[in-house]
Amino acid sequence: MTSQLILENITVAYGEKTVLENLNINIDEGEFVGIIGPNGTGKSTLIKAITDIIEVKDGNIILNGKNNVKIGRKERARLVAVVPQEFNTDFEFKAFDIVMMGRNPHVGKGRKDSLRDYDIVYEAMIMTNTWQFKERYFNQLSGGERQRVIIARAIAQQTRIILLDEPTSHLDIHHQLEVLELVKMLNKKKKTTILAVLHDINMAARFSDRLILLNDGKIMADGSPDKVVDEKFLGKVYEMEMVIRKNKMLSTKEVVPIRVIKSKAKIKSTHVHVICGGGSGEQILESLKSNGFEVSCGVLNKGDSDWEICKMIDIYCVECKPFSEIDQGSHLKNIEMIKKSDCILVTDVPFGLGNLKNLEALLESDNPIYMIKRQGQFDYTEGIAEELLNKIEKFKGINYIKGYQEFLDAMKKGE
Amino acid sequence: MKKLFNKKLAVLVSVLCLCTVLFSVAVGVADISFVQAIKILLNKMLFLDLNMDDVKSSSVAIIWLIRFPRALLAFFVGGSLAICGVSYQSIFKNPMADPYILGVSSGAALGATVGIVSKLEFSLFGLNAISILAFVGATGSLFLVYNISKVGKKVPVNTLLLSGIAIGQFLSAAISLMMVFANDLHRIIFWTMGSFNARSWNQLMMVVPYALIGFAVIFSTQREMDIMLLGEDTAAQLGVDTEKLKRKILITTALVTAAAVSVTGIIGFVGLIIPHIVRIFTGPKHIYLIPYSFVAGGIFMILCDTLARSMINQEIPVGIITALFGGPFFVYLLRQRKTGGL
Repeated sequence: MTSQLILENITVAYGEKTVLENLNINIDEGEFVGIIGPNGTGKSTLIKAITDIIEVKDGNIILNGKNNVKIGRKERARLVAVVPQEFNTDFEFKAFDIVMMGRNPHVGKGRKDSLRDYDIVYEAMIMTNTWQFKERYFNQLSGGERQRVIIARAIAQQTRIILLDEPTSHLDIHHQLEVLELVKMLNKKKKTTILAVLHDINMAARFSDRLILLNDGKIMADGSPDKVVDEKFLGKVYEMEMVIRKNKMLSTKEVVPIRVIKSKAKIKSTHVHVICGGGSGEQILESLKSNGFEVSCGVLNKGDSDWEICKMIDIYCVECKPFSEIDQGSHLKNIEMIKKSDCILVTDVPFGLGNLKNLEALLESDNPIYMIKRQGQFDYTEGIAEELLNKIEKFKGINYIKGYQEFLDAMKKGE
Repeated sequence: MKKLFNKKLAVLVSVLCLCTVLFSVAVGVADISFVQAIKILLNKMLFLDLNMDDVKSSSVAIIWLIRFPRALLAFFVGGSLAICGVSYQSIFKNPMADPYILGVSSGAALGATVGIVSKLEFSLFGLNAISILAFVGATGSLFLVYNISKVGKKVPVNTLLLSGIAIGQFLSAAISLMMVFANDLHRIIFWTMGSFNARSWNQLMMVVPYALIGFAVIFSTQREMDIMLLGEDTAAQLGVDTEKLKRKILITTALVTAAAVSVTGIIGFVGLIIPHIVRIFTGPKHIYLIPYSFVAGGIFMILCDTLARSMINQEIPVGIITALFGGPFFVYLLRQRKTGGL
C-alpha cells in the first residue's frame, strides 16, 4: 500500500491564532479515516488546508506523491473531492447541473459536456439514487437528497480521495446512516480513500477503519476505533462523564454520554450495597456512583446486565457463575459486604431459586434496608421468598420506598 | 426537445434583432419611408446597384451615416453593458452588481468632465478628447480599486465592492467640485446621462472590437462562472482558479465598459436589469445567459435610443429612457414571478 495523503508537520493559523499545530498524518490508499474531536479543534480547517482554501503556515502536504503547493486548482480537483457540511444555492440549478459541475476539472476550456461526461454523471447519479430527480431544482430538494447529489458530484469528479466535512450534521438519523453507507460503499467498491470529519463518535467508530482524535489542533489519538474510543482519550478531550461499551450487535465500541455538569451535592463516605439483577439496577448503580456514594453490589451472575454495568463503571460486585444458583462462597462474601456497608438498597428484582440467597443474606444485616416497592409478581419460589421477606421485616425492619428517587432524597436528608 | 427549443429561440431572437435594427433605422424626424430605408441599406451593404432615383441623397446620408451606425452602436453598447452586468453579478454573487459598481462610471465621468472643463481639443482614431479621457478615467479607476483591494495574491470580493463604492463616491465628489466652477454645466450633466446623439462609424469602430473580444473572453468562462455561483470555496474545490477568473473578468469587463461609456456617456440600468430579465427565462446557466443577455441588452438599447430621439422634438438622454421604461417593466416581471429564486 502506498501513502496517498501525507501531512508533514502541518501548522495552520488564522492570523495569530494557531488552529493546527505540527500535525503528522499519513493516509494510505483505500483507507476510511474518521476525524473526531470537539468543536473548534481544527477539523474543518484540516480539510480547507488540504484543498488549499487556506494557506499552510508551516509543513508540507503531499498528495499522491506531489507537494500540494505545486498542484494547480484543476489538477487538485482531479485528486480530491470535497463533500461539505451543508450546501445550498439560491440559483436555480438542476440536480443534474450540479453533478455535471463535478466534471469541470476534467474538461478543457469551453468544451461542451461530452457524451463520456454524461455517462459518468449518469453512473454517479444512479449509484447515489439521485437520477430520478435529475431535472428537479437542487434548492428544492430535501437535505438528504441534496447531500446525495453532492456525493454524486464528488463521484463524478473521479478522484481517488474524497474529503467529507461533517456530511451528516444536518440530517436525521435515517439520512445520516444513508450518507455514511453510501460513502462506505464507495470506499469498498471503488477503493476510494475517505477522510471524513464526523461529529458522531459512534458513527465514526462504526464506519471508519481508523480514527484520529483531534484536540486543540493536535492529535490526541490515532488508531483503530477500538483503540481510540476509550475513556482515557475521550474523557479528557470532551470533558464529560461517559461510558464506553461494546455494542454487541454491531461489534463496535460505543460511547454513552452521561453528563457534563457534575452533581453538586455529593454524599460522601456512605457505602450502599445494592441487591439487584436482571437490569433492575442499571440506572440506580450509575446514579449512585455519580452521586458519590461508595457502591458495591450483591451477588450477580456473570453476564447479567447489571453485572455488565458494574464492570463498565467500575463497581465492586460479588459474582457467581452464569445461570446458576448462588454458591456458598459468594453468599458469604455477600454477607461480608452487607455487614461492611452503611445501608442496603434492594431493587424490585424478582426472586427465584437462583438468587434466593440474596434475600437470606439480608437476615445477617445490622444496617437499614431500603426496598423498592414491588408491583406485580416477584416471587418465583412458590412462597419461600415471600416468607423470607416477612421474616426480614419482622426481625430487621424494611423501609419500603416508592422508587429510587425517594432513597436518594432520604440519603440526602440524613446527611 | 430541449435542444430544439433552444434552436427555435435562437432563430427567433436573431429575427427580432434584425427587425429592431430595421425599425430603428426607419423611424425618425426626417421623412424617409420604410422601403426606402431598406433599399438604402441593402444597396450600401451588399454593394448593389439598385435604382436610387426616387431617393434623395440627403436620405442616403441620414440612413447610412447617422441612423444605421447609431443603431448598431446602441446594439453593441447595450450588449456590452449587459454581459458585463452578468459577469459582475456572477463573480460577486450579488444581484445588485452592475458594470459601474467598481467605480468605472465615476472614473469615466471624471475623465469626461476634465475634457469638457479644460476644453481640450485633440483626437485619436476619430475620437474626441472627451472620449479618450473618459476611457483613461474608467480603466484608471478600476486599476486603482483592484490594487486597493488586493490582499497578498487574493482579491476578496467584499473588499472589492466596498473599495469600488468608496472610490466611486470620491470621484463623484471630485466631479461635483469641478462642476461648481464649470461653465459647461449642462454638458457635463448630459454626458453623465448618456446619449448616442451624433455618434457614427468612428465611435462604432471603437466599441465593436472591445464588445466582440469581450464577449468571446467572457463566454469562454461560462462553465467556470456557473460554478462560481456556488461560492468561491466550492468553486476552488471543483477546480476553478477563482483568483485567475476574477482577474480575467475584471480586466475584460473594465475595458469593455470603458470603451462603451467613453463614447456614449453613462447609460444606467441596462447592465443591472437585462441580466435579471434574461435569467428569468434562461435560468442561471451562463451558456445561455451570456449570449441572450448580449442580444437582449442590444435590442433594449436600440429601442430606448429610438424612443429617445423620436418621442418629442428634442432628444432626451437615453439613460433617462432606459430607467424610465426598464424600471417598471422589470418590477412587473419580478411580481409575475412567484418562485423567488434567482
